[in-house]
Amino acid sequence: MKISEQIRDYAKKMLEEGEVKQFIGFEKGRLPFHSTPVFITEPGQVERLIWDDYCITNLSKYLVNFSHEDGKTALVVKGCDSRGIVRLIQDHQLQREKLVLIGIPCQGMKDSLRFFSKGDDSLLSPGGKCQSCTHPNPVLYDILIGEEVKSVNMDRFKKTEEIENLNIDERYLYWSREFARCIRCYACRNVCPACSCLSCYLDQHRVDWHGKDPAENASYLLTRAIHVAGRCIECGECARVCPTGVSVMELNKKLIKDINELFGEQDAGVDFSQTHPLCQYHTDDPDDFQ
Amino acid sequence: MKTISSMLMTQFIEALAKEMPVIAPVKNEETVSFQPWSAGMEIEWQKNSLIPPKNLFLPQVEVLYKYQVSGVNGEIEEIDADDSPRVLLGIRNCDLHSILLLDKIFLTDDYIDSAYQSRRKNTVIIVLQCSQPLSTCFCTSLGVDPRGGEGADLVLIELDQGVRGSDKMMYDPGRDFGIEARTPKGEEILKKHEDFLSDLQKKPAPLENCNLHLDERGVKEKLPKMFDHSIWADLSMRCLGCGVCTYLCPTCYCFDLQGKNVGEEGFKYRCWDSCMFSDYTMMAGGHNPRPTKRERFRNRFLHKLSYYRERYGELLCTGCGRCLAKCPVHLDITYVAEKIKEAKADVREG
Repeated sequence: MKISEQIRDYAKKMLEEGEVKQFIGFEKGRLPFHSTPVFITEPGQVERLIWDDYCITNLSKYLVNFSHEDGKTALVVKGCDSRGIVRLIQDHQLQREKLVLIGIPCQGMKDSLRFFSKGDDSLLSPGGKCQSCTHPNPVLYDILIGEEVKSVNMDRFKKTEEIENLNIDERYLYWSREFARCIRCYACRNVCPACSCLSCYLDQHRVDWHGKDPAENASYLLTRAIHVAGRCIECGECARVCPTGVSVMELNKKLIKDINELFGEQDAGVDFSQTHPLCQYHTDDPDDFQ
Repeated sequence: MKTISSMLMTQFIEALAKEMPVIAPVKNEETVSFQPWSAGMEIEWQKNSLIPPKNLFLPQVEVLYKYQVSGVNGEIEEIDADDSPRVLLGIRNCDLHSILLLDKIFLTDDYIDSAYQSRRKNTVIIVLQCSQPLSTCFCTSLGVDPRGGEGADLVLIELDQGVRGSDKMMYDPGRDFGIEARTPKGEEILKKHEDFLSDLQKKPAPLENCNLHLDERGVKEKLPKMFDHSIWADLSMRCLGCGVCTYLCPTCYCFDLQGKNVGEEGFKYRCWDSCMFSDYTMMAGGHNPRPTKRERFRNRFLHKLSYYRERYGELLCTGCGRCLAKCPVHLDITYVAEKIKEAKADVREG
């Protein structure tokens, strides 16, 4: 049976039996390459649910909107969605017992947002964020649909190292050009499962606080990177949703690489037993900065 | 119609740039925006810019005045907008239409925004006609003629090359253009630079239709009765509450006033703002009349589809398709209009 049909069957059953209050998945959007999040509450609406090559959005952040409501929510999870959920549970934003997770191993999704920049050809291969995915299989689920896929062994820090190897002037130029393109739409922040503050420091309206001036782009992007350091689950949504293609994820990658080198290999949002490396200390932690 | 060959186009632009700054669509990585052009910069002729040209008239940041405090005394220095003449080259008819819509906001109804006005008055506009819409384009639904030139001084016309590239989505770069003046200012420029022009007779490239349409028949009658409709909660559930749609929209013009202090000195500036942000309607006392995504989302689409039309008789949309291409969750205006049409609402005569 096709994955879409299996999703619909589960959704119908769960909604009819009242096991869950709503079911979050994907439906087709306006254009053939648009697949977009959908929130189903009626069993009669399950036909809208689909599964195809464009279900790239990380759905985990949406759950925060329902965490204080009664009843359970079901949702479909790829590897990246499930890691977002683990992270949000660890941050006490979600309760596991209020979730029913339908895991779907992911082959890598195509990125419709690059269409405007590049034309149709770029849609033929999986989107940028999927190319460095380390966990294509859900790490947390109740039901698994489809066969687990083999994780491709790639060097996820290749570009990070390229940037590290630039000299200081070249690196400054690189990041200046990147930061210059930021339009401060905050899509990267709003989609991020590690950005779970109810009220963001950026939304405080005060003289001398952080303003909307693009001159402060670097301070915005760097501050956000530091805020999510150690909690970033590498879903790459920040870079995907960026309308101007700022390499936001490279800031996170650099911090992940540094944390791995300083405190040993870490994988945020994979294992509940793993604690946040920057929220604890050991007496033998490196202290070279002193 | 005069023509200008792709070879001479660069020289024509260089000659223009000697007289006044030329602002043209150029790339930074994959992002095309309007920037001051200088020799050696490659102009993006193939597709419309990602960043709309509205920032040339309503800059993302604009300092209004500076102040200095000493004891109980203070001094204020007003900053005038830069009104030096310039050429805006290569804008499309959808974006030209957006400027005409913004004119109604900033130049009519007894309120003239002087900074906007001086920038507007001193800009020569050279529009680039479209012949092949992208799959996200729907300008013809909004009364925009992709072959038009209303509001432009000069019009660049894509010419029929006889052969189309194999990739239908892309324009053939390096082609020749037809050029026509639409205003005395435009005539003057053509006359001054007639050495670059030839009389080579070529037909304009055939115009292809938009595949996408914004069908808003019936929306106008329904919307005033739908303020408390459940559709706003349903549609906004998917919305991330980011500002991609508003900042990339050529017609969204909301701004904020912010300030910076450095010791005894400081300045006030006007900057783009988005009605999708939580602090947009935050009152000084802490009350927010649009507390959730539902109210903010509703406001944006009522502004586009209803409020602006009530005041100025048109929709606040040009069909440029940027929101369609770049909304992270594909919540575009054509989709919203379609859902409004489908919604069961009280449509009795009011």
